This record gives sequence, C-alpha cells and structure tokens, in this order.
Amino acid sequence: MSPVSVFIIGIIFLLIFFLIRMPIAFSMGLAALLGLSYLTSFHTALMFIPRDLFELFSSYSISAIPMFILMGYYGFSAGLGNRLYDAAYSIFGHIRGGLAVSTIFACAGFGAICGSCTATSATMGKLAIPAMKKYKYNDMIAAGCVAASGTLGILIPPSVVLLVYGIITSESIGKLFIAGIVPGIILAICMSLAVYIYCLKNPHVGPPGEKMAFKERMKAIGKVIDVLLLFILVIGGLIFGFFTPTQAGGVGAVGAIIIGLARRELTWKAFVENTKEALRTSCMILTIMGFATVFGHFITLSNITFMLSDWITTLKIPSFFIMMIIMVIFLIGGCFVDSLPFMILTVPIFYPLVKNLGYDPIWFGVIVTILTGVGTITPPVGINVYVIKGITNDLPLEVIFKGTFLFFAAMMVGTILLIMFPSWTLFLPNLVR
Amino acid sequence: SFSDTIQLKWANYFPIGTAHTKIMEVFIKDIEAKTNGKVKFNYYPAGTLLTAPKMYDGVEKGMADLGFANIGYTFGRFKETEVLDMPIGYNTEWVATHVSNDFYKKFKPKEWDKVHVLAFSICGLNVLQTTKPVNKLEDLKGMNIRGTGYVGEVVSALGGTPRAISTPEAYDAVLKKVIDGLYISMETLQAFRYAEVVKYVTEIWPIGQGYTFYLIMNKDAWNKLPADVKKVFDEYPFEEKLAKMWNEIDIAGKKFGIEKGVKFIQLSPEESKKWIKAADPVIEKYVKTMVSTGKSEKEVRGWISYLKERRDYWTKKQKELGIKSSTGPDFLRAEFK
Amino acid sequence: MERFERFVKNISKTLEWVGVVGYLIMVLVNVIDVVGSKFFHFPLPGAFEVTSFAQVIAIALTIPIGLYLGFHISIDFILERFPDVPKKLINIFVSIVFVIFFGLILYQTLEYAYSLQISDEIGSVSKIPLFPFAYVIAIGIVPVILFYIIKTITSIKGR
Ligand code: NA
Ligand code: NA
Repeated sequence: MSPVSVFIIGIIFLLIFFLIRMPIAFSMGLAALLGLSYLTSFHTALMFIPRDLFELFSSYSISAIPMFILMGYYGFSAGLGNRLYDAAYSIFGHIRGGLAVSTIFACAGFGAICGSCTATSATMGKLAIPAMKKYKYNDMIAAGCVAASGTLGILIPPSVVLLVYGIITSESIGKLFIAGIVPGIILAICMSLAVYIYCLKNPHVGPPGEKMAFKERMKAIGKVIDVLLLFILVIGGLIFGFFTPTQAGGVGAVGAIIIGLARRELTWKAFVENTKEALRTSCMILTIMGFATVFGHFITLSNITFMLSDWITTLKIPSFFIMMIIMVIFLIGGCFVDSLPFMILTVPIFYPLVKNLGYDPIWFGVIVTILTGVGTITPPVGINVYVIKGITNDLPLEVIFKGTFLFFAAMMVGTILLIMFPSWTLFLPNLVR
Repeated sequence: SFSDTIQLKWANYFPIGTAHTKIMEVFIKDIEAKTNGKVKFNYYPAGTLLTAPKMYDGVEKGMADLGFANIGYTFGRFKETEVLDMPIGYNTEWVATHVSNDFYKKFKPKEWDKVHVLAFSICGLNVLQTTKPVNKLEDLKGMNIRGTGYVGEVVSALGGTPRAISTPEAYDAVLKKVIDGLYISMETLQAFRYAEVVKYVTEIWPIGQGYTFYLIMNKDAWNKLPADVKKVFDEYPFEEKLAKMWNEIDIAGKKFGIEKGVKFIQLSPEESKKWIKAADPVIEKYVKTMVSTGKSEKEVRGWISYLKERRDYWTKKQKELGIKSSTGPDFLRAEFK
Repeated sequence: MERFERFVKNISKTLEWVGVVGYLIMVLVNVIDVVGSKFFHFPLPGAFEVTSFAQVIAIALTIPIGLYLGFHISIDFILERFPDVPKKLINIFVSIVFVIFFGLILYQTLEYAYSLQISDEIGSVSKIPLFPFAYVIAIGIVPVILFYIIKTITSIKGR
C-alpha cells in the first residue's frame, strides 16, 4: 500500500472509532496501534504506547498545563472570575459583545505570557464562561470565544510553538518572537470585529447593559485589586524571568488559594472539590495528548509527509498556489494532530521546500504557528475545545465546536491577509539585526 | 532486484538543519552508494521517530534500526561508559572522540552487548556560557547553570547549582533568568542560538568534558545484513567523520558567538589548577559509585589512567596533523580574527 | 457482580486520591523551589524532575475514575441517534475491544517498566529511579481493564 492509502485508512478508522463513542484519547491509541502494526510489527507497534505515555506524562514542559488548570479552578472558586468580569462589565458592558471582546484581549494578554494555548483556555475559561453566562451571553459564543482566543497566546511572545519552530529550523528565536506580535494583534482584531458584527446582527447573543457611572466603575474595579495583583505576580514573574510557566501556574494556584482564604470565599470542601475537578480536566487533556503522540508516530512512519513534499516539488505551478496547498495540508492535518507534535512532524519536511520557493522562513514560522493554533479548535481533534468541554461539563462538544466556527472564520481572514502581505509580519523583526 | 533491498529506519533526535542531522544524511548517501542500493534508509530526524531519552531502548527493541543520541539522556544505564563523561581534561573534542572509541574497543563494556555499536563520539567540550562573567572559580558560586548527569555534578563541584532543563527550553530559561547560564559545548551558541542570550563564555578545557554520543544499530537488523554490506559498515570512517564534525561546528559556534558580541575568557595556568582540583571529587565519587556496584577500584582507576594516556596520545596526533579546534591549549586553538 | 463493580469503583476513587496527592506535590515542589531559589538562595535542584514524576502519579492514577464520571471526552451525538439494538451491539463490541486493547497495553507497560528497572536509569539530578513511575502507569491501567470487563458483562445482560 502507498503511504497515502495507509494514512487515509488510518484516519478512516479513527473517525469510525470516534463515531461509535470511543473516548477520543483511546480512539487515537487504537487507530495508531492498528496502523503501526501494519507498518512495522504488532509487537513494535505496541511498544510505542507505554513509552509515549510515560514520556508525555513525565514531561516537565507539559506540566504547565495542569498547573494553570489548577490556577483557573482555584481562581474560579475564590470568585476571581466573577469580580474580574464585574469590573470588565462596568467598563465595556454597554457595548454589544463587549465582554466577548474583553475576553479575547484578556486571553491574548494572558496567553501571550504563559505561552500555551491550552493552559490559557483552561485558566480563562474557568473564569470567563460562568461570568459571561451571568450577563446573559450565549453559551455557544462564550465557550467558542475562549477556546479560540486561547490560540492567540502562542503567537505573542513567548511561545512554545515558535520556540520549537526556531529550534527545529535553527532560525533566530528572538526574531520569531518579535515576528509573532503584529499577527497576534491582527488576529485579535479580526476576532473582535467578527464577534462585534455577529452581536449587532444577533443582539440576544451578547446583550449590551446600561452604561455605568464613573463611581460605579471605580467601585467594581476596586474589588479586583487583589485579582490584578495575582495576575501581575504571575505575568510579571514570567516576563521578568522569575519563574518557568510551570512555576508560574503553581504560584498562581497558591495565590488564588490565599485570596480565596483571605476573602473567606474558599472553603475546605471547595478546595478539595476544585483540586479534584482540575486534576480530572488535566488527566483528560494529558491522556489525549499522550495517545495523540502515539498517533503522531503512526503518521511519521506512514511517510505521508515525505510523499506530500515529493509530490509538491514536482508541481509546476506558481509558488503562491504551492503555498496555498501547504496551508490546506496544515489545516487538514491540524484537524487530527495536536499543535506541537504536528509542528515537529511537518516542519522538517516543509521548511526546506518553502525556503526553496523563496519565502521568508520567519514569516513561514508565524503562519505555521497560526495554523497549528487553528488546529486546536477544528474538529474532530481540537484540544482547546476539549478543555472547554472539560471545565464547563454541561455544554455538548458539538455546541462548543459550533461556537468556535465564527472565530475560525475570522482567523482564516486574518491568515490570508498575513499571507498576502508578508511585510506586516516581517517589518518588526527586520528592524533588529 | 527491488525485493532484495533492505529497508532500515534511521532515527536522530537532532533538529533538521543542524550538522548532526546533515552528517547522518552523508552517512546514508555514502552507504547507499557503496552497497549499490542493497540498503535503503528512511531517515527520521528531529525526534520524529525516537526522542533522545528513548533512543537506546527504541533501537534495542527494533522501533528504529539505527539511532544516534548521548548517554546523558539515560543517566545510570551505561555506568561504565559514563567514565567518558568525567572531567578528564580532553583538550579538544577531536581528541575526546578518538579517546572514546579507543575506550570502547579496549574494554568492550557489557552494557552495549544488546546492540551493534557503529561508533562513539564526544561532542564539543563544555564551556561555561553565562550572563555574568566567570573569571575565577569564586564567580560561579550560587549561579544556576544548566547541566545534567555528570556535567551537572561538575557544575556542583565547581560551586554552581545544576539545573536540568532541556536544550530547547534553555534559551527561554536564560532569557527569563530562570538560569544564569549553561555548561555546554561551543556549537550550541549557534545551534540553539544561546549566543543571543548569554554574554560570556569561559573556556575550561583543562577540565574538558563533553557528552558521550553513541551511534548504534539494532542487533537483529545487523545480524540479518549480508556480509558485503556489513563490510561497508565496518570500513566506513564514522569515527573520523564524527570527530571532524564536532570540531568544525564548535569553531562555527565560536565564530557566531564572536559576531554576536559574546566575550570569551581563558583561565590562567594557576587558575586552571584550582578548577582541576575543584572538579576532582566528581571523578572520586564516580570511582566510589563503581566500586559499590562491584567493580574493583584498581580496574576503575585503570580506565581513567587509560583515558588520560590516550588523551595525551591524540593531543600529540592532532598537533602533528595540524588540525585546529575552537578551544584547547594555544597550539591547538584556532585563531579568530 | 454488583459488589465487584462497587469494588472496582472504590479502587478507582482511592487511586484518584493518590493522584490528588501527586498533583499537590507538583504545586508544593514548584512553590518551594521558587521561594527557596529566589528569596533564600536555596533551590531544590531536583524540583523539575520531582514535578515530572509527580505528574505521572497524578495523571495515570486519575484515568480510571474518568470512566465512571465520563470525563474522557467522546463524541456522543451520533451514536445517540442509533436504534437500541445496534447501539447495544456496538457498546458490547467497544467494551470487548478495550478489554483486549488495555490488556495489551498493561502487558507492554509491565514489560517496559521491568526493562527500566533492570537498566538502572535514574533522574540525572534528583537520582530518583524512573521505573517505579512506569509501574504507576500499569497500576492506573488495571481498573480500566476491570471497568471494561464489567461493562461488557452488563451490556450483554442488557442493563
Ligand atoms: Na505567548
Ligand atoms: Na483540530
């Protein structure tokens, strides 16, 4: 069988497993086991599973995710989210979709610092979704908004994905980081416009409130000083190098406990319950990521990426269209593979090709980062959507996926703009030597 | 005919674009040509098939047929070979690589019996890459320095605090001041772009130490090869080519560092003596550990004196051949600008 | 049968508590390391490795309770629309497949854990051996197999 057929059959198996209600994580493991058995031997295929699980579960860089999830849960139970959104509502509440737009920029800011879109969605989702619900925002938009804007964080430095791209390709990480800034802002603006326009047309989705007086605003802001201090500690600590993302999450979690205790809002029972809930969400995500690694090995050994790049090099069409084909490949791949494994899998193959076409490798890194970010919200395998599902519990998966569609469309518009005008991405990094 | 082609999976954890990935591409091309297409390789760099901690296990078990990594990622597994990681004071990586192969050929540690060893090599000797200048031993006190395994122990012995951070993450960690520097080879200045974040490099070749790399093949895969193919592998100059590669990329790394404004610091002979003395407990501790696992002290000390003897031999040889390195004593060190 | 089911569920709950301990260790080690290294020049050199190993405990031992609480996400809305008989058959099929699948994983995990055990591999800074954590993963898988065995039987019985 050719690599393409092996790959396609593997994907078909995966989809069938999804449809007969096998858990996403186990479906990926099972499909990978079957595929790898065909490509190597049954015993070899089986060997990948414990090794990949062990490696992912014991990965220090991954541990930022459970730590930030915990911070989100403690923050939620300590009432941080509500107070934060009361303040945001007092300022932006009178604008249609104002809270959604605030959420987008809050996620961009928070994610910018913590560098992981999954951790961002988990922290912000636990705080933002219940609060937006309180102000009668539509569930679907609230959930979709957080899931999608979590991806902004990987563009604005520091970013794990850009870092890995830099390492894989030996491009300047400093330049890559700087290059991510403008595209991150452009995408945030596209998403904000999309939600604003959508709310204009469907007023019930993000209803505007009364415009508040200055005094009331100050009062609401006064209540969030401790929350802001916590965020300043976590974010400032990350910027000024006080701690690693994992440490920041841990410190943030402890800070949220302290605020909760000081305000007498966090009970022992709530502490225990939230620890358990946070662990369950982390377990769900890491189990998926673990089995996704096995699935990634199936894709590696199917040699599909080699085959695709060989095929592309034989094409006799303008380089712009080749670039478009590569985009589509990344979008489709992103549906099934998580962002970092996907990056590691594809960049070694496509980077030399794109460079030969005369495209700027820094710019390509940014585009690839956006596309892998988009992959975290596209069905069927969308880690960010799963995170939101994990922390909201009552929202069906398909509703959250529907909610992200608006933002997906906005991100596509932004991406196409960035492809058409590479200088938007490149002028900042070109300023540094 | 086509059906006779032997397909082998070659795994490497180094990213694409690096010399360590390219050199394997050269190996692959050469061997495919020399065996007249009898062997074909599928090459999986950048950890796409096996990451560094899984490399040995993955090759032994047949998840890949060939693999390249260093023994620091599987700390404790290759205890005898770990003697090569001691601060022996290899003067250059070229010397160190030859010494490592001599060691394997002479002592054949049992711990490699389950795979077929193609070659060993030792990467560029570690240098201190820091954000604050380290001119004397005392300057290192209290600094957080990236280093794992025995490299970490040397950091401890010298007065720093070792930190286990993966090489890709270390860039960000230095940037964010989570660590004050790294104890790692010169080439990483360029390969991992550390030159963008560190300001000083202290060259401490008098206690020169590196990471020991292995290039191995799955035993079954090896046994299945026809004799003529085995001969191609046996005669292929892996050792010489690896020694040359490590040497060249360190020179390139130093050049890159100079371009980025990194300052390079050499130790005075008196200061060097202090460092050698400070690093000695690491060797002593290693001897003790090995004695506790049942080796005789004489045997272990024998390995170490053999390493020093071969070091002196290959140092002379390098001088004779006129090969220059990025670091090392004046007569071996390349001139920069 | 019901007693056995209760027994497996209780085991899963207990393992989750151990997982919670692992999770809190992650937090504690991080905070102690941050406070120690930034304020007292007393870092925990093995903090990163301890965090990683505690994470294995936290995650692996929480997997089984997820099957009872349903937090391992699956796509529900399609199978929901199936008629009862095919739905039941599919459920039986899925359960049996998972008994086999996780049985194989358990066997392979034990083999891997044993190979780590004889290899003597240890964390390079903390000097903690790796193999116990591979066994922890194996422990987490056992109730998963039992869960699917019970589910197979109850699905066949038509509950
Ligand atoms: Na970021
Ligand atoms: Na996706």
